Amino acid sequence: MRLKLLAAGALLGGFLGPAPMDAHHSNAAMYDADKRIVIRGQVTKVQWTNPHSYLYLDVKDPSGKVVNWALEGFPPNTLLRTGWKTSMIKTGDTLSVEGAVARDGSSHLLAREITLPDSQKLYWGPER
Amino acid sequence: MLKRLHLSIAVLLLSGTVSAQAPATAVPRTPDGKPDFSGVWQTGGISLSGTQANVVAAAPAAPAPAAPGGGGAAAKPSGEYAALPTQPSLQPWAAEKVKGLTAKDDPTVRCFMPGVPRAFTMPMPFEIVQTPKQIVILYEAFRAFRIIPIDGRKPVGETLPGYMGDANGRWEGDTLVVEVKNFNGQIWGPGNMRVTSDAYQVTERYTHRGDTIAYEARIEDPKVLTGPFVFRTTMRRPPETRVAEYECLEGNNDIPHLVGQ
Repeated sequence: MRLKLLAAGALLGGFLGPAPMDAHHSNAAMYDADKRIVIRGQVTKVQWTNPHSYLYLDVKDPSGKVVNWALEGFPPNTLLRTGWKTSMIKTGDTLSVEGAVARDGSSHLLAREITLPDSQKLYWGPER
Repeated sequence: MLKRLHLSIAVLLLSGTVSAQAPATAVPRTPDGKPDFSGVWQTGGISLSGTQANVVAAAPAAPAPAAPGGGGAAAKPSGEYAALPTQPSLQPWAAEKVKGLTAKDDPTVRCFMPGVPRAFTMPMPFEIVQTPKQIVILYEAFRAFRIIPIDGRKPVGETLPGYMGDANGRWEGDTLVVEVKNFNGQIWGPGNMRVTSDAYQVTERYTHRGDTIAYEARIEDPKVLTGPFVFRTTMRRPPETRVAEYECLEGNNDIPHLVGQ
């Protein structure tokens, strides 16, 4: 897996640009990339959809109440091109996810790095 | 963390190596001697290793800085459009209108097609299919496609305005020049041109450089702009891939949460 990601990274390296691309919408309009958190919980649903993929995670808040978080990321075509397989995540898996919080205070996260049950780390979405 | 660092280094080293070894590739030609633009191309992409700015700054063979508002590295200016500004200058009424717009007002947020040249700023590939009579561009982003006649066919005409316009192509030497008109006034232009009218028109110049296509678009809109400006980008061949499905409506859940610019 690491080799595959390395190869993808090497090839995509030629495509890196300093200016953010236009995309489906401005991520800055929804997420504050300077306010980042790590959450850990159980997968309730995986949605490989355009224009964004979503993972839903049941996370216990400090009071013990379970909140379902929506973790937004790249479209499925991009995830596939960066080494993801749909078989890598299934309902019930416990994951840690780092990302940027939603500006409207909802339980949405622009998910950057996901740590899979086997400790493998992969990018689910852009940093900002 | 270690794996992340490892990946970052690999991206930097290998991308530099690939670029350094790449010889100038001859421009591929069709049987009738024209530059052959066929294949899958992309103008920008994603970073697998932290922030894009950091990666590019540290890479020994990084692409040139991007054109303002554009994706990927900028093409070198041609003589044709070299003197034009690279940002739109809006008429006072348009500048006033733009002030009140937010990210929610972007037509692509509701999955409308992004128009020309904005379709070339999306981080997804597109395929060019070239025949002696027409060039077809199939964009993964927003399922957009364009048919560009290069055989002197008459344009569709102003009775059918659209998001992607009415294209008419011709060869100027080895450069493909495409005039695009009959837009519907609903799209956004490139950069911060967040308003267009039915007088919006684009003259595109595609120049094959072997490994890349240099792209320039002269943007005019006498009802919105104080004068023309130019948008530039560079098209590159992505790692082996094919243009895939992109059904934008299926997971378009964000609109209620867009609260900023």
